Amino acid sequence: MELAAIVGERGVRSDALARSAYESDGFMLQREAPSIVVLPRSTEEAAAAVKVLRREGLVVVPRGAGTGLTGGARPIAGGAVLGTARMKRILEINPDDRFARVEAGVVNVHLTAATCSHGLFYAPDPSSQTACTIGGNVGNNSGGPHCFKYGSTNRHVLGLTLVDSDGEITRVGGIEPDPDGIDLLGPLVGSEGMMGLVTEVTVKLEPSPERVETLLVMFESLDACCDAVSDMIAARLEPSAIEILDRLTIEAVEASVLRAGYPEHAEAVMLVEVEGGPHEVDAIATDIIELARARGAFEARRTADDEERKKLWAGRKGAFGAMGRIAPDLYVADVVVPRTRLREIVGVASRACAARGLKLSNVFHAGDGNLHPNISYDRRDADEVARVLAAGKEIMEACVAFGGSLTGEHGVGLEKQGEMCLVFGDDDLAAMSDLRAAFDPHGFWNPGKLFPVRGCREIEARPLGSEAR
Amino acid sequence: MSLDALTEIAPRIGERAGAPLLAPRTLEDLERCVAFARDAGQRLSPTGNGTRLALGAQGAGGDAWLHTPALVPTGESGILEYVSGDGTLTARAGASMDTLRAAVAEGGHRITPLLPAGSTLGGVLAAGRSGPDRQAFGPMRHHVLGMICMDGNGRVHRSGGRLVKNVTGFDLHRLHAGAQGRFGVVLEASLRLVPRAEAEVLLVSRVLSSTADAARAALHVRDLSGLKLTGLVVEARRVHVLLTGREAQIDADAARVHSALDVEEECAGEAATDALLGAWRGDAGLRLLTRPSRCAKVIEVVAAAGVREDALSVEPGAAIVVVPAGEAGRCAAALSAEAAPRLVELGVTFDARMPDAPAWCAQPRSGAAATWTRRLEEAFDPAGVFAPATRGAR
Repeated sequence: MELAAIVGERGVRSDALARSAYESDGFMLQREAPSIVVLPRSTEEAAAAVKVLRREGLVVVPRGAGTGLTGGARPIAGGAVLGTARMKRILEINPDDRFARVEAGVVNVHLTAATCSHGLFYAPDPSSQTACTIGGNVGNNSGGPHCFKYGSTNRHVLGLTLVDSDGEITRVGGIEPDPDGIDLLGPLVGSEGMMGLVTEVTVKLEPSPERVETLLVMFESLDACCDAVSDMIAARLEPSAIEILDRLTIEAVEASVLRAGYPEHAEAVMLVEVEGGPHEVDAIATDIIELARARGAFEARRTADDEERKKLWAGRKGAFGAMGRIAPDLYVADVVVPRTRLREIVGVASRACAARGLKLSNVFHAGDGNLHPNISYDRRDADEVARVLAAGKEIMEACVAFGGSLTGEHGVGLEKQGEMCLVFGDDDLAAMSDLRAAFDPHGFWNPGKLFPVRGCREIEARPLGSEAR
Repeated sequence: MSLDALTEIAPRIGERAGAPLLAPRTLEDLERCVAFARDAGQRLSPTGNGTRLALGAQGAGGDAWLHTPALVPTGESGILEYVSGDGTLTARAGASMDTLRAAVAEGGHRITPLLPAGSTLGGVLAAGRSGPDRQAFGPMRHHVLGMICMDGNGRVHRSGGRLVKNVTGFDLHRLHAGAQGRFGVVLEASLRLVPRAEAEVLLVSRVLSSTADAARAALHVRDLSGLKLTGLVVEARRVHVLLTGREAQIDADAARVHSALDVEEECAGEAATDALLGAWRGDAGLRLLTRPSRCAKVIEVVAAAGVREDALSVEPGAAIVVVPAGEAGRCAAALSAEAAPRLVELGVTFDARMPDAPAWCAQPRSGAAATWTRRLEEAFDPAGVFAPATRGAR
């Protein structure tokens, strides 16, 4: 009743249908219905709602569009979900100073659509950009294909508004590109909703390039395609995106409505975007094609035609959806390795899945060393689920052994918290826990995520959601 | 007495700005120094080569300096890993930036920030220094991939890693970058490298009628459609434009700059970057942080207060107006009467990298941000072992 007075009747849901709709994010293997879903329309409403929820002893999971893939937005039993779905206003676009100020619930692609008439764009472009929100991107420090050139979300956030566990509203950062002193903004980006609710974000906008070309390069072997990418990085070529799709992905995309025009007889295709001035584009594209051919590419072509480029990229970004043709569920792994070791980790993923009778497809940000081995499965089959998770674990372990890490852009969430011990020791995790406690000493925000629940000498030994009780 | 005990752990190798310079040779020595200081109530100021003193640090905020270059074993470069094929570098904090630059140049890379010679990796990171190449690459902290630090508890902790893309765990290294050692000593850091360009050219305009006009002219160049700038600086009322990239493109871009700007000097090749660095005076002094569209207005307010315009160093794209160190004291005095409130009205924030900064430069955090900062200090340095070098009113 009190919450309804703050956010309106439509902003509070505790019926079974709504609770069920929010029981997981894109990581379907872990579900938990929240007690209540609260959807404020403004920062002030969010802050007031936080005060009520805190007083009532509920822990809170912040949520954008729920497109996350590691369970970061999965509710806590008995807790609340505080969503930004109704905070969708673009508050300011400033072309002179090249920034935009948006509410956290603005969908990623809507921001770029709103800025393109000014000759500007917002660079981070996750594959889910037609659904995911800017606030969610901040929570996960999201990436996307063009982060190869432009970097992940943390390089594009100038400031944000945070509601903390006391319901206080604080503006962190501003519009200055290079502020001085202690950087409180940096650790908040990518904090997986564990330090507060981000309600507004000020982001940097990039000038649109003069010319953009997409290269479609085809290989008879996925290994050769990976090696070509490693060569490009070693040669210090600077396209804006380097993506790889393997044969199974190509087939799924071409059999779907997306029909991007990928060659179905290729074992792998590399999709490269080159941008800049015409001479620069020409020089980089020429070098890339030469290197790819030296690695055995059987065809490589350039296109500056907008329609064709859009189709090629729509296929890439829609690839995860297209895989629904293969099986009802998809486990999207997200690991990262040094770019000198792409071929090796692709081999590990392939063997890990083959040994368990699982169907693997690969579509990934090769230029960043950020792999997405995708395992198709049916979550109603408990044995298959166990095999999928075991394969995922093996891939993560191999990545760490290769000098890589657990996640390049999806975050740790629930899925990878056990593996955090592979990367970090007790002191590292304790320091991170201290960082979190400085912003949220009550364990109010998204408890039970990211830190290992067991192991690592019981860094966080409390059961999920117990911190605020 | 306490200092004597400390020098038994870490030898005193000299004095800097009135405080003894202690040189721990190993991690264990450093840990013992921190533990001793914690128990004895002493305060230590981590330092690299002391180049920040030239940026306006007045001296050690504590009882002694901790000299991190001493942690680089004698005869070694401090480089722990340079993966040319991945474009990453990991080095000890005490490593010389000049040594690191030379090493990665051989592999076809360069380090951003572009800064004058003499500093150490840890010093640059702790001080949060960026260079005139931030127009293209953004601030220094965007290129730090991971760090290992020792905090005031003597706890060695790591965050991030050596990968160009990685979101595993919280970005503690972003907290340490620019914190001036407040939360601990940087021991090791990994950086993302930038490919060395095939061609470079620096274009310098004639002297314009005012610094404000030069800033407007610089922004006009920035806004030329499709033009990619590496550096954009106004010094002595002249616009400096650094272009880097493919040769044919640089030629075409330089022609466009010529059409928009009355270019008086041009310098090509590797000397172009050096020439920009030689001209740039924005590393030290009183920094006024604004937004690009207000740069000219801020300059006019500063000039109206009697500050010599030629003294100003401006990066219009990054929205920074700097009164270099030598002029900063006079400028602060000139501004204090009426101009400072006008600058605040314009949304300017101040960063006083200078000695004797006036009180109005200090913009302390308030509310929740102050509480978070206090909690961070309590968690990472509860005994207050680390005392950043003092810097004006901060």
